[in-house]
Amino acid sequence: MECIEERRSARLRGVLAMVVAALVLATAFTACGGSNSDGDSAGTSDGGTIAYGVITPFTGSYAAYGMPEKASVEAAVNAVNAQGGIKVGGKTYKLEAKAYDSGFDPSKAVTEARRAITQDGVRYLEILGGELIPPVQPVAGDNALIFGVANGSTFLGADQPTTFRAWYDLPTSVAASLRYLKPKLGTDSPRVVMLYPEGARGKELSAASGKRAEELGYSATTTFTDPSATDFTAVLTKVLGDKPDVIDFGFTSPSAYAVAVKQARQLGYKGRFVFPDTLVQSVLNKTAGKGAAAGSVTSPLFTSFSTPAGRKWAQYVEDRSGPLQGWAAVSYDNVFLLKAAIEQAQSLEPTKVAKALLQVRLDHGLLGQVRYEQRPEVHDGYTMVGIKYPVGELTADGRVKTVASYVG
Amino acid sequence: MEALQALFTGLAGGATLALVALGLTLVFGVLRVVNFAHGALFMLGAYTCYACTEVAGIGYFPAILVSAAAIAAVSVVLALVVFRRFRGLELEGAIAAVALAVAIENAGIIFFKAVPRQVQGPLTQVVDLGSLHLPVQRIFMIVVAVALFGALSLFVARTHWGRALRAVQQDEEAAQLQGITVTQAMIVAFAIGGALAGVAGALVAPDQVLSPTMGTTPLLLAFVAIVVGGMGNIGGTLAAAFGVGILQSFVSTYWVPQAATWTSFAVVLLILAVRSRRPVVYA
Amino acid sequence: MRRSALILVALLAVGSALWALGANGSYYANVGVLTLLSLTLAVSVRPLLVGCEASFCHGAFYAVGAYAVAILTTRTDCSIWLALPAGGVVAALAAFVIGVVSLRSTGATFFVMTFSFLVLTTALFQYATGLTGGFNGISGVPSLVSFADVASFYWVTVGFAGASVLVFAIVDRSRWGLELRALGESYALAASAGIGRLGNLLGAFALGAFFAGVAGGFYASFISFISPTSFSFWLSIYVLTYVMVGGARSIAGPVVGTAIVGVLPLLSGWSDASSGVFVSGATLVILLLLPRGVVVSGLEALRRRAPQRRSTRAAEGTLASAAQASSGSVVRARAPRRIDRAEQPLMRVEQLSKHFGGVAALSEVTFEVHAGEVLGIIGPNGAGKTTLFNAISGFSRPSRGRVWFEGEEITGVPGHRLVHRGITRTFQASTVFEGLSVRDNVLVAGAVGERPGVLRRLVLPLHRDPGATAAADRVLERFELQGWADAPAADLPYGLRKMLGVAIAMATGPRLLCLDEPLAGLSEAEADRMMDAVASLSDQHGVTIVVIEHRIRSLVRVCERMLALDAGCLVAEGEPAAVLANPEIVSAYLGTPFTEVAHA
Repeated sequence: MECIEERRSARLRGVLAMVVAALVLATAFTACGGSNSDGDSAGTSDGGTIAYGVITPFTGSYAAYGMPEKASVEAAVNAVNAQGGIKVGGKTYKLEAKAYDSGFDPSKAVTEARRAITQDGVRYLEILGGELIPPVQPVAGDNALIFGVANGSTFLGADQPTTFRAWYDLPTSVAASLRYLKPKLGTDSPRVVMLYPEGARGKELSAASGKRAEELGYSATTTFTDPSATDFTAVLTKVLGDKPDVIDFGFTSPSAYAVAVKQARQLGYKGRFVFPDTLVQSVLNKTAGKGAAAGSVTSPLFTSFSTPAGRKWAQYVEDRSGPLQGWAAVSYDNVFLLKAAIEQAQSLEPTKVAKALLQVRLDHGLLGQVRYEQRPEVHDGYTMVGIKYPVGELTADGRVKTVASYVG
Repeated sequence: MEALQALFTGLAGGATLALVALGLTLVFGVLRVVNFAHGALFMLGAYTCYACTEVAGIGYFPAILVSAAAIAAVSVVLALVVFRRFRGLELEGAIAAVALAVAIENAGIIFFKAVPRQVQGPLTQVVDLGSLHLPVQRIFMIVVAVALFGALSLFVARTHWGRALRAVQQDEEAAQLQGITVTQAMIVAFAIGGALAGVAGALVAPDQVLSPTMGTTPLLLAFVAIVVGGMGNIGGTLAAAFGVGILQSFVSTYWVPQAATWTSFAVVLLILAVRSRRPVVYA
Repeated sequence: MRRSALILVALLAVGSALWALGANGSYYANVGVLTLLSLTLAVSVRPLLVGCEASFCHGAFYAVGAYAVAILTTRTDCSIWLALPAGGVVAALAAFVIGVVSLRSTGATFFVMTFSFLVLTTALFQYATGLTGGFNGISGVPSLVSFADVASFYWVTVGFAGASVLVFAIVDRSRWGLELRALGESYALAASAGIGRLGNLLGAFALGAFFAGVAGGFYASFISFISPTSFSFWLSIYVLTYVMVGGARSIAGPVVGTAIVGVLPLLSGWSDASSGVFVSGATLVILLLLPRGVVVSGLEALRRRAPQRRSTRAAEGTLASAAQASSGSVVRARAPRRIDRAEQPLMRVEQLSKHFGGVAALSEVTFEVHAGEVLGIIGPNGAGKTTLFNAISGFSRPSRGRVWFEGEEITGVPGHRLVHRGITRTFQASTVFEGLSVRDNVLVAGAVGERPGVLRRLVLPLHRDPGATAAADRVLERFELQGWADAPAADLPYGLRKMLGVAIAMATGPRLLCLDEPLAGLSEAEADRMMDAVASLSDQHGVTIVVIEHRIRSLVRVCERMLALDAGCLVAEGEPAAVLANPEIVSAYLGTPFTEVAHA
């Protein structure tokens, strides 16, 4: 019930609100007109620019992945252009990176993919997140190549000839660490627990990792965590009851496993951990304390880039996105593979480039000697192989020491 | 014993929820305002603690006090600027509160970026009783929650402002005739609620990695607690909050962790369905 | 209101055309589809909001529909066109189940219950792997049109969204829409006008869920792949925001709200967080400035100018007739009717008791009401008079005792059903539907006698129903409110509000009318007019009337018999003179004996 004075000023407020609403609408239309108009309507290949699209989360709970990926791609794009660009049919093309926020939401990803392909002329798309790739695949069709930056293989297959998995194989990474650890555990029947986040990826990868562990002589069990959980005491209480020797965190995020390590130690766990995905020491040391994960292994350890190119890349990415995320090197090497494929095919047409991608190889990539190969374990789809999986051990003062290396 | 460990974990979780829920129930009980922005206040409390300990270098315990004061202030500002406008418009007020929560959360995402932040608390010891491991930080949480509940109960029962709040809750007009305006009651209720949320945030900060979205789940579970415990009923809310915490813990330990959230809501649904067999119109 | 809705529909059509034309590629069409689906969700969550309940699980119906369509089209040979309405039906069934459990509560309890359903359905999608594919989701949902043709999909969606808006606009203007608005104003008052809460809200809930489910099917068909991550829990909340920003009171509200708040995140190229801040900030600012929403505030501002003149004239007219009435009225006491003992009493109350915890509000009250009489009930405050009313009119279940009406037992029958049987009561406070026009106040109660068919109730625009409108106007005339017919009831001065309260009750065509302190707060002249009206109701229309009153002087002029209550017990019964002379009554209530009973 508004009192009388309010009615008099209601008209004024009404006008004010109309102005606000009008401003809002006006901003919307200028925003939509002005958004993403960087440069010319590129990629229409009249000898100018090739657009490389990156659809990744810059917001939401996976936002930590967006910046490193974008920075890594930019580093690669700059390097390619500095080396003379991409030469097709006698013409030289510059490469250009375009980033889109997916917010890790499938319909946003589809919207942005449509924008990229139909408005910005993108023909080569890098997409982060296994759940976002299937909806985009029909949109891309034959008009765009998809590089899936994701674990899992639901989006791969012989029926997806223009989709490539630009990622390392997590189960291989787990196997590398477990192989190194086995003789050190002092038991003939070591027990490993796969503590993976719940989800499609979690189910698939924990099963594959478990299989590799058993091949190595471990007995493996899996327990799933709530992907958005920040407290692991309950689940650890359950897991530690079986007295495991090793806890494998899978692709659990660094913030989460830092807390889990701390809480496991508080609950009296004395065993080892495996961090097969990415290790962010700063978070781990800060949260769990230096040496809390001493003796544990991590693989792949992309942080030890000793080549000049590697060091330059690491510096570039760190400057732009904080502590180094070694996995982002995959995106870097991928750009060079794409360049090689385009030049091999001497065409910008995605299906031709796709075929060429299976024929080229990068000899001095940041990750090793990488190339794409068709593999039966991913439904005869195409995935990156030739990656080195260095194994490192965490020391008591919170640093990593490389101790072994495997190629997968 | 596993069950005792799970019980302790549940109590610690319930303690956090209790602090958030007490603030919510106070505001709702007195002013009939559903404050969806309360989770955002909890998050701000944690980040304030971070700013104090990691950026400004103050000790942890002073940081808790600073968080309480700061979030109380923020809460009062929100009350005066936003919630006062929606007196009597419950639904619009609820939506405005949601908009507020989303705005604060997203502003947090932009401002704090996606870099995970941690607070190093001083209470890192663990009390070991055989196979039972009790981190001191968590014991501290439980103690503080119970103490603050006690203080709040005393406040409501004995002090002038506590009685003023109860007066407003029972009959606004009569309270106004006694010289207590709704605005004054609003300031007091929101200040206390905000302070409790700030303390809750500061208490969990050393135990978790901070993120701008950390307030959502506690808010939802706190709502569960206050509806089950009775809106405006402080003792009931505390009991319900601990109940929810323990339920979450036991489900996570004995079944699967991902079932914890939906099990709590299923239980709530059942309780409410049984409670509301009588239609709302007729006494 | 009619005109502005047409304008908005026109704007929408123009806007859609502009979009489809202006789009150079599938991008804008893509945004268009998602926006139109949001619009459908906003429009379909509105009916329940009108009835004053906010459902926080509308997004769940969207998801249920999407999953139903996806499962039907990928696991069976069902065509997508058949699957879409099937998805809607599944969602409506889910709403029915959820509604039956949760619509017995209100406000925050209802919110928590619907939110719990949201959490549970999400868990179902995630873990019922056999049915829903779990986290892997379901892919390969066929498109409504050929796959790459986003523009055609867009037009089909325009058709669907347009149809949804049309359906809800029709409902809005129908009798049912008016009943929902009445429920939104006051559940108790609506019940006293014969409008049951549970049934009507359940219908609104299920109808809204149907459209949400079909919209979900559209989504599944558009993206061709759904998984639990496609449906964020925020969707249920955003959908409410769209409606509130535009204003829940108008059908145009959700349309405008979606345009302002729902489109931007899709259209702008900003990051999610920036969009989030902007959108929520804009929502907050708009709600702070215009709490009732953009459209509703705009319409109210327009309305405030025109009817002022009409109201003043009406007010002048009413005051004039009031002046006449007070100067010339001779309100005489009624002669007691000869009560024919052979006649069955209209209502019989036997040993009626009501306890609230330890307090006995009523103790073993027993009396009869005879057809055609006017019965007065007096007693001090707290004697249990209103409790008695609640018990005999179905607004409260007696703890013990029984009630018969026209020979049939009615103990425990809910109030809105008793209205249809012929018993109507008024309330001391909140006597009118504030947000409705004076005519609508009476119109909404007018269906009790008629029992209109489904089509007439749900589809026919109420203002085109001449019979109903004429009947309402007749009632208004009898109570001299016809000059105020189009004004909002909130504008009525106090005395006329009480009149309207009685008018609403009379519009239900009761055989027994229970008036609860109809004279409270009225001036002498207004009280006389009210009692004249009451007397004429009894004389000319044969309505049996029971009146609770404190103003004895006015009461004795119309009532033939009186009951006196004190502390929950029936203390005296009989002719007014005798009751008022009763020493217990004098000491408990009157103070001094009442000697001014004048007989005709």
